[in-house]
Amino acid sequence: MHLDERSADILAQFLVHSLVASLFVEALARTWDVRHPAQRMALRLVALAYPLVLFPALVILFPARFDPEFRDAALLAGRRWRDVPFLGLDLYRAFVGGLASLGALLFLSDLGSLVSALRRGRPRAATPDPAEAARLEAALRPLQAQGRAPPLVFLDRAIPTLFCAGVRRPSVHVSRGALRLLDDEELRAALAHEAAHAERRDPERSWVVMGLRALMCLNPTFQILARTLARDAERLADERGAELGADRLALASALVKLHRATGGGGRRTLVFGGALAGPLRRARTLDVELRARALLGPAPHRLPFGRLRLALAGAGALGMLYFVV
Amino acid sequence: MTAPTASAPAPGLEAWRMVVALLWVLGATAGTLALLGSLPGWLAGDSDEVRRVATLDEAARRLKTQLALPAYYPQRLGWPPAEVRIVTAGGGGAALRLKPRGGTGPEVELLQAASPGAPVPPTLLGDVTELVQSPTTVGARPAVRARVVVHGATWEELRWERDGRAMVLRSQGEPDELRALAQSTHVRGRP
Repeated sequence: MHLDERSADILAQFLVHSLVASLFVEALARTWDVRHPAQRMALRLVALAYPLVLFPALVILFPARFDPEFRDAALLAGRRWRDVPFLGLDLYRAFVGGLASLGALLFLSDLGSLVSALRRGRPRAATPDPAEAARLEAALRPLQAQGRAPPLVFLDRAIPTLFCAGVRRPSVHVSRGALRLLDDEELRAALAHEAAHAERRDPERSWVVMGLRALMCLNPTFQILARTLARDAERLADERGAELGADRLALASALVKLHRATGGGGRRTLVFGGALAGPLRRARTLDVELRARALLGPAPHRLPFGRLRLALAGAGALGMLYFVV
Repeated sequence: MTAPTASAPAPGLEAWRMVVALLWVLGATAGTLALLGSLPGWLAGDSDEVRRVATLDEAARRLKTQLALPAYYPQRLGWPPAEVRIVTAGGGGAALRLKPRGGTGPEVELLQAASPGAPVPPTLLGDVTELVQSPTTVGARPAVRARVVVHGATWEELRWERDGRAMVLRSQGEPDELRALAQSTHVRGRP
């Protein structure tokens, strides 16, 4: 692919700015000790919005940043890396090309998972036997009392699965295997977690994020941030589930049980999926462990000045990246 | 079971902590970016390799000096220069290739050292065979007029010094045009 100099500069800045903005926001979240998943998610949304909104604004409002003279005032001028001799490679273009390829790879790997899930089709609803129906009803009662019980779909599957799906009308899917695996308290907690997903319309949000990922398919930082946001959504549902009455310990227990029962693995969607299966499983296990640890601790508090923090994070990133060309 | 909630710090203290942490992260990130920005200069250092640069400004910036340019500029020649090459090692130098508008007609090449007392880098001059030379002047300055062959092509050449900097002007066109160009060549801001 041949790019003229200005387009190559815009692409390079787009990729580098996204990376720096997300690292900056991540460092801020850690230094501020932001523990509440909603606040962490909001901060990461600032990083996610950077390539979508702030970077285009920077390009349109300040075209003089692309003038060669501006490089003298810049903190970092990526083009200067062209001067570094390294095996006859143009390091600047190699870096940009490498990042863009990584972005495309990350997007395609998740698109593969999505396509394979769509091919399997919607799970067919079944009728639970009277004992199972009674357990489900009992588990849903606390949510019904608050008027927050989501529609329930029973699945005749031995594999323990429990998830929220449906864009227009989110519903919670529970398999026979999950009913057998979880005790009453764990089932109540897990249903409260899924009810939180349904309440936030997370399935719809995940489709919107997937659409944005397609738009930003060359941006590896955007792809990784979108994945991180999906994990944040799980932690947020954990906390919201606890607010809806789920016992934190029971929810942690349900989480670990379901993870163990499914082996923590996903479907292979890449040619080299076999080589990645081990690290991916370890990453999922670590994520479950962190969620369980968070649930065993006290409920995280929200930091004051939440909106001001978001504004400062966005303004700080924008002000600094103005000088990165 | 109701979970205990972690205690929240006082708002005043939290506001102070927020600002200090923001300044710390901003400073650390900007410092890291500045370090990354200065690395290419340290790694690449001065080079006797010929590099093409996009603009005259970029050449001046890399050589850390203003380039000498002709004030007289014939209509037949295109602007900006079709090619700008530089060498940064050994005092450095630049070569500007001026091609005719429309692509047909004789070319002009202006080569110059970047610092006083230094010669024009040989890598910029190319493989030169001198056929004939004679002393002359450019304005009041002593100069050498020569006919040279560079990479198989014959050029008329003028060599002189301006503000202590070695200059070479080559042309495949009229000698009068060559002389007029040489006489008007000066560093911006100097007579």
